[in-house]
Order: sequence, then C-alpha cells, then structure tokens
Amino acid sequence: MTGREVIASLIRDKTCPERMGLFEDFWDDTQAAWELEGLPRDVDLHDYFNYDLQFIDGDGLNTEAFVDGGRRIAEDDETYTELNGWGARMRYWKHKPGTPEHLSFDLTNEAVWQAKYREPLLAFDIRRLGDLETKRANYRKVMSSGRFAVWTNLLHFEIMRKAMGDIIMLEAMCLNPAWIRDFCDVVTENIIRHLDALFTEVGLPDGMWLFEDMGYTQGPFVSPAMYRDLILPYHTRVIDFVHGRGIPVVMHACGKVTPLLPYIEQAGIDCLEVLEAKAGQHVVTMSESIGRRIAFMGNLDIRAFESNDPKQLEAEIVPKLAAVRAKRIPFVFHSDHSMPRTVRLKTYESALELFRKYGRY
Amino acid sequence: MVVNGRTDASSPYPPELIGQEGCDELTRKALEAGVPPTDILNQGLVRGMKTVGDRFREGEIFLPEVLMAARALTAGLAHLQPLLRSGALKSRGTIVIGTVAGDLHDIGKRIVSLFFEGGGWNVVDLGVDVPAGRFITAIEKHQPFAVGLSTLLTTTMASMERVAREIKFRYPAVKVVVGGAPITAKFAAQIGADAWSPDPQGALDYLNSLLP
Repeated sequence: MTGREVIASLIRDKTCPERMGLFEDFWDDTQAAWELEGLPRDVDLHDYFNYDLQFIDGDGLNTEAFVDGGRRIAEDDETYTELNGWGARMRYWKHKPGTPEHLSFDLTNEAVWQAKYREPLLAFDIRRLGDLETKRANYRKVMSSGRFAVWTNLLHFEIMRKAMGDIIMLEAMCLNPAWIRDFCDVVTENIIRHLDALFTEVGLPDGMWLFEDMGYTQGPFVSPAMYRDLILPYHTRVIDFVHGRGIPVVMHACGKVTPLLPYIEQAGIDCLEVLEAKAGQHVVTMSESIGRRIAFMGNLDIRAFESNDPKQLEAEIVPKLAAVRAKRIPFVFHSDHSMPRTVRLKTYESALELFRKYGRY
Repeated sequence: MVVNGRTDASSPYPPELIGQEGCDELTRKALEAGVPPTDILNQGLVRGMKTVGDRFREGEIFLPEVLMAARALTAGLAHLQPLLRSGALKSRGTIVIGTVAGDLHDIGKRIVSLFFEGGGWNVVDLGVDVPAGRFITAIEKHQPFAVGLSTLLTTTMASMERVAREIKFRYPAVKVVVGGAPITAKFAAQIGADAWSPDPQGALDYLNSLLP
C-alpha cells in the first residue's frame, strides 16, 4: 500500500489496513543537529524516513486582518520582533524554535474590532492564498509522491491568539461573548471563502490539517460548556465545508483536551493529533471515551524519546502499539510533540525500528 | 465576590449577578465600616482566591473564570494598596518569578503570579527569557522568600536546572519552586528545587505552609 492508501484507510475510512501510519513533525533546528550525527545533508525527511503523510504547504491561508500588515520592526542577535496584521507585536527566536513572546496587542476590545479589523476580513482577497505558483508546484510534487497530501490552516483559537493574545481572548469570552461569536463568525466565513478558492485555484488535497491548540498540561483553556457555546459552531462550519468537498479533517490540538472530546467529536473531525501524553492522555482511553470512531495520531511521549534511553523508549512505544493493535484503533505513529534536537538521530531510528516491528494490525 | 469573578456593579460578568455590587464596592464599604484591613485581605480576598485555586485545580473552573476572579481580586486590592505601601498592612513576603532563559512563554507564569498576589504575597515578575544572573540580582535586591521558575519547553529544562542550582548554591535559604508543562516532581528533585506543583494553588499552598 502507498502512504496515501494507508492514511486514507485510517483517517477517511476509519479502518485498519495492514499497518499503522507513520508521520512526524520536527522543530526547525532538529535536522541540522541530526546532520552532525550522520543524517545525509539536505534530505527530504519525508523521503528519508518514508512517511505516509506530507503538508503541501506549511503556511496555510493568511488569516490576519491586514494581509500585508506584517513586518519585522526590531531585532538583536538572538531575537526579532514582528508587527503582525492584527497590530500585535511578538518576539521570536532567530536561531531556535519556541513560542513567541506576546509584547503588545492593538485589538483589545470590540470597539477596536469594529472600527479597524472586522471590515478587511469581509472581502475576498486573493493574496490570502499566498504565492499561487509556489503552491501549485508544491501541490504537484506532494500529490505525486504517493503520500497523503494535506493543506494546513489555523482555526479560531489560534487566530484569536495571534490577534488579541491569550488574556484578552479568555477575558472577552466572559465579558463580551457576543464579540467572540462575531469574531469567529467573520473568521469562519473568511476561511471557507478562501479555502474554496485555494481548492479551485490549486487543487483538492487528500486531507485538511487544522491547527487548534486548545489546552495546556492540566486541562483545556476553557470549559466544555464555553467551548460548546462559543467555538464549536464555528469549528463545525469549517469542517462541514471541508467534508462537503469530500475531504477528511485532522485536528492538531496540544494540551489536555480530553474534557472537550465529546464536542470535538461533534464538530466532525476525522483524526485527532497530537494527544499529549504528558498531559495524562492515552490514545486507548481517548478512543474508548467517544462514541464515534475516529483516527488518532501521536501520544508517544516525547520525554521517552528525549531520554535517549532504549529501555525507556521501548517501554513507551511497545505497550502503546500493542494496546492500539488489540483495540484496532486507526492510529498514526507520531510523537506527542514536535521532535526536538535533543532527541538523538539514533534514538529516532530505534523508534522507527519498533514501529516496523510492532506497528502492524 | 472573588469566587464569582464580580469586579464591580457595572461589570457584565457573571450574567446572573448583573447590577449587583462587586469586590470594588464591597471592599470600600468594609473599610468604611471599620473592618480591619487584615481581615478584609485574609478572610475575604485571599480566602476567595484560595477557593478559586482549589476549584481550578479540581477542573471545576477554567482559565477564563480564574482571570475574572483575578480582576475582582485586583479591584478589591486597589483599596488596600495604600495600607500595604505604608506598612500598615503587611504582605506575606516577596516572591521573585520568571520564565527561564531560552523560553519566551509568558501566560503560565502570569497565571501563577495572579495566584501568588491573590494569596497575599508581593510578586516581582522578571518576565521571560531570564538568565540566572538576573534572578541572582533580583534576589539580592528584593530579598525574596522564594523564587518561582517557569518553562514551557522540554528543550529549556536544562536552563531551569542551571538557574535552580545557581540560586540554591548562592542562597540556600531561598525556596525554589518550579513549574511548567514538561516539569515533574522527579525533575524538580533532580535539579535541587524545593517544590514543584502542576497547578498554581499547589505552589501557593506549599509556600503558605512554610510560614509561621
């Protein structure tokens, strides 16, 4: 079976083919570190590790209010500061991965939203699709690779976080839920309109990968009731649109999202990724807690990889794959986080050997 | 009112209490009525925030409700600030807090700071990407009872270890409390930290337990 067939079976059909799927995501500096450990220079990791899935393009749509509003406004040896298309200033590392520092936000209340940022999101803007020639070239390349090809995009929590930051967003959910609903409604229509154009201008993918971090280690950012009332209707609309084009949906959600599972399931996703183990989540428990059959990707504790200890690695991977196999859960082998440079290449290769040995149904 | 997150009479939150007074008015009225400020702080505001912390730890409430409680707390504390500044009302002590070098993540530390302030402590927030040297300078300047170290990433756990060891080497009496997504009790013990908690209230309870 090709990678596309394996993932389609798992995610689209929710059936278990001959083996589990294989995919991984990496921090930006991991490949360079692994080249010092013997990885051939500049290889495509999808080819080298024979992954089953690939992002056509990591950028997604431009979902900021002002498409051309982003620019670098300061830098030093270690970091740079960007003003984004929401008027927010964020500081990033130059030479290593990590979350940005939130420095300031312009979008602090509904009045600013109405006066400045709502209007630009209402119109269709071809620039939101990005460089179409590059996207077409990437699309042709990935679609011809035999791998399951996905477009990616952000969803509402991620977009709000870039627009107004965590504190303003979370406070507004209590103080002005009508504003949050209006924000999500406008963003939803913007996403659907521009995804539709992307599918028409470039092509339909095998799947849609939606980024939506909704929790931290101890729990979701918001209560299940708040998710149901303020976010679920908009998740559902985006997913319904994608399904309407015959495309299954993978949702990436960091943190402990278990309390939200009934509603995430209701939103219609086909696969949930990344199932952080350090948040106390286990793929089998999660699978058994929901009524509908969906696929899962991730859940292999990155701390076991980072130990670079074969025994710890085996103790994490082998029983989990055995449990997945016993329950016949559609599953894609993936860490519960992006692979950092602190994991040795040899460790990762050992993990893949365990996958090849125990990752069959 | 801290528990309900009710700031003042004009607040739209919580919807079921619209029109009712909040921490702002009630703290002012309590002071005017002659209630001892220490009682207002400890029996009212701090106790309310303790309930919020416990409910947050148990998963009964979530971050938005915690932030509403913190806003209500701040509204009440504003009336007590003159007394705190003059020394008529004493805080429990000072806690220096920061996200360790190599990590720019802020929100977890900010939430923990809210709980420390709500617990009656004076908080000196050093921000993010804080190297050991800045923690040491802050300890020398503020003479804290404890230092709180935060990190989100597994890749900066080594940075946390360097900071923790440096602090404990130079200032063994200063308590070091660590937290963040990848941190465990085992790791905290390995790096010489005095305590770890998966949630803010746990850290606060630990520090309060050390007071006479």
